[in-house]
Amino acid sequence: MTDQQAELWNSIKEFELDDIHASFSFSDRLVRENAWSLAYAIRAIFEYKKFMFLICISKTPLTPSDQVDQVWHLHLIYTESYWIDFCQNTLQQPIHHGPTKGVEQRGNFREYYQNTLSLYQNIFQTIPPKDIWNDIETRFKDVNFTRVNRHKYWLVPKKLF
Amino acid sequence: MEILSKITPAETLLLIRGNSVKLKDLMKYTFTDLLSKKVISIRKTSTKASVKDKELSTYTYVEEGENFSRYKPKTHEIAFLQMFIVSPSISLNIKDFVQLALKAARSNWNYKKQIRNSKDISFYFRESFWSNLFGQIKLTEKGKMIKQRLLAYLDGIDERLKHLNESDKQSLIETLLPLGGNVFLLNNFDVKILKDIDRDVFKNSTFNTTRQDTSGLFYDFLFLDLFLDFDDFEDTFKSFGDNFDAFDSSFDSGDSSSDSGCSGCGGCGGCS
Repeated sequence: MTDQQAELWNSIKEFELDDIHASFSFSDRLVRENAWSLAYAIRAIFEYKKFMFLICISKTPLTPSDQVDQVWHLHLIYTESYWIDFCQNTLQQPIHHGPTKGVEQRGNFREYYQNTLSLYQNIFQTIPPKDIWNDIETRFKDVNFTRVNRHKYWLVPKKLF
Repeated sequence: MEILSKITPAETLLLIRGNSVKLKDLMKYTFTDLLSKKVISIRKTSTKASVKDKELSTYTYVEEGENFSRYKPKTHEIAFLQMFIVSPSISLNIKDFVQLALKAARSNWNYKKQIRNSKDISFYFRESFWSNLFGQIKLTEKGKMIKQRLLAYLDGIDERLKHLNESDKQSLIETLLPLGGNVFLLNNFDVKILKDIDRDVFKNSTFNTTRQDTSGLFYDFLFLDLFLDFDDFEDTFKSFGDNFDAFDSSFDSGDSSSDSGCSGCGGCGGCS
């Protein structure tokens, strides 16, 4: 990491997504919407920050893990925080989120994801945590998610039967 | 008293107070002890809580301290350090830090068991099927003796602190420093006592040598920076207690988070 990159990483690392005056914060919402533990949500936010840093320094497109993508989606909803505070004031560049356009792009995303994992390891000198950064097969297999009203439906894992 | 340089304040508390010691105190003093050993550190920053805010808000973060990587934690300390082990260099808002530590402790009894099973004090406790079933802390005869010795020793220092004069300070410091985080258990201990003393006095102290405690941590000097930053320390200590109370009570009532925002987009606050 160059000095300039280290300075940028430090700014991103210190960027705060949680409003301390809010009774229901960004991380609380992340916990609720994904049924994650608070510890896992906080770690996912940290990995999201690492991913955004990698995007800033990478010359090629990158793809996040699904968990990191969920943090990104939620941050995009907080439009002022994302576009003004984060992109404009902290990253000093706009970072757009590009959802897939279909199966024809699947090969590209696999390559981008592989590049992301390699760049992560190269820059942070550590292996991405496997519980947040799945292997490439799991990353593109476990994508069948649906929004469910838990007041009306039970969630029962298939492996029980 | 040599044992006090080997055991943490939580272990001391369990020995001297047994069943009556509260989870909050065990955790608060463990937090303070880890801070004083620089296993964890505190960082404060002022920033706008949201883009629209005109005023800055102060955020308090808990991070790895300079001794984190070489520290070998005792089991009851892992509740505070787990996140830093799993995600190195992460910063935790103190509110989240307390909540996570409390969840990791799991329960009052579970946390006491972790402390009781420490290799430095486990032989002072009598463990049986019934004591485990009813969550009771029982001391052995040896345990009862060490409890009396600890109480007498700490009371003695407390008495000296009560009638402290200038000429006593140097010798008192040499008594206090080996106690490590246990100094916070003294009723009459006030960090101002150390703050008022010239930094050079610390440097001349016979305890100003690198020493090793039972956890394998080497550190040059306990507390010094912490005490010199006394106001911050007081705030942090209070903040830990306040956050603990908030989460501890919500645990008891079984309250879960709910959002009062609109249901249409998962709780948006409207646009402007």
